[in-house]
Amino acid sequence: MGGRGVDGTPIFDELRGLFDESHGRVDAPSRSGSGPRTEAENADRPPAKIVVTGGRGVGKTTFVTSVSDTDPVTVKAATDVGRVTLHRDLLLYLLGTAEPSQAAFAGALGAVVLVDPRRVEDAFAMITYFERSDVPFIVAVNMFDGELRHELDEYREALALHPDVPLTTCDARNPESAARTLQELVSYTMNIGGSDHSPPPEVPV
Amino acid sequence: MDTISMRSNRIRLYALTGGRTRPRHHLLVETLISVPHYDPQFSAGLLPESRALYELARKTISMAELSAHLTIPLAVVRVLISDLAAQDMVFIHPTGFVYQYDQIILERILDGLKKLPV
Ligand SMILES: Nc1nc2c(ncn2[C@@H]2O[C@H](COP(=O)(O)OP(=O)(O)O)[C@@H](O)[C@H]2O)c(=O)[nH]1
Ligand SMILES: [Mg+2]
Repeated sequence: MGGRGVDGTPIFDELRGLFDESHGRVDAPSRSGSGPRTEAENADRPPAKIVVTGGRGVGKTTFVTSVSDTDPVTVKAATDVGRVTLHRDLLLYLLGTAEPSQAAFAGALGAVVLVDPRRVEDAFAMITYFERSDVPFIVAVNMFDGELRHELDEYREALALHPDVPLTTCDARNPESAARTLQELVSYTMNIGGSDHSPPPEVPV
Repeated sequence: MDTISMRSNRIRLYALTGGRTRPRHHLLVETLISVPHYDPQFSAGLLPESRALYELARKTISMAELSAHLTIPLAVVRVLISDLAAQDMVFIHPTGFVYQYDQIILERILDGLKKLPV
């Protein structure tokens, strides 16, 4: 069963090598001798991570909670981590935080920037942050009172959002809506991964 | 679960980590930790915080959950877990660093998300 995940699909051993070498970050204890692989070493795939961010009170904790398996844990003030079991061998961690942090966002496959329709300006800083980072992001207007007061295009304009960045609406309290928003992000990450997308436009300082 | 007394928390944690803030390993919130070969004698010889981490990691657990369950700051958990890893007593699982560029795994993540909520 060595080299196979619990569902029988191959574990990406080459990829693991890549983590070890190119980042020098994963120092697994050296495998001693020829004994059987332990359960830990025969581990599942590395977990994935998505960042859920936006201004305070925008619904990050609500979003992470609604789609996670169990209640998220709070690692520090205003930072929640939720876990979603996508497959038996593949976990997704959701990091809900208002603070941009290169260390915390490292390795994320993307970010959802939540926008409060009554306070769009709260999202400016985070959008600027992601425009300058390598982490793909989409923007989702959390519809607190059930309906948008303006057309989505008007929000795009108000947010000065690049036309290529997906803009959508969501209901952070609704697990299906939160899951659909995450799907949009992953689809977007897939799309830009294939083409050689141009860097984001320069933002005047 | 053991809760650790938070008496003179800062001083205690400073002493524990020897003032080190930079761990030798890059440990993210989602990085999974486990104990490959549990050793009760080793556990008994550890300081309470490290012992609590070691015991919790007998079942594979994330850095975020370790920090939250023991109410030990993430930065301190990083240093203590690094020390345990340096002694080969815990296994630091790889993280999905290149998933952003891996179409096959992204497809699988998408597929999992489409089946939510279960
Ligand atoms: N009516 C409504 N309330 C929401 C929604 N999302 C969040 N809230 C509420 O807004 C407040 C702030 O949400 P929270 O998730 O804690 O925001 P955070 O600071 O971004 O984590 C809480 O009282 C939530 O119950 C929503 O979609 N509709
Ligand atoms: Mg919150």
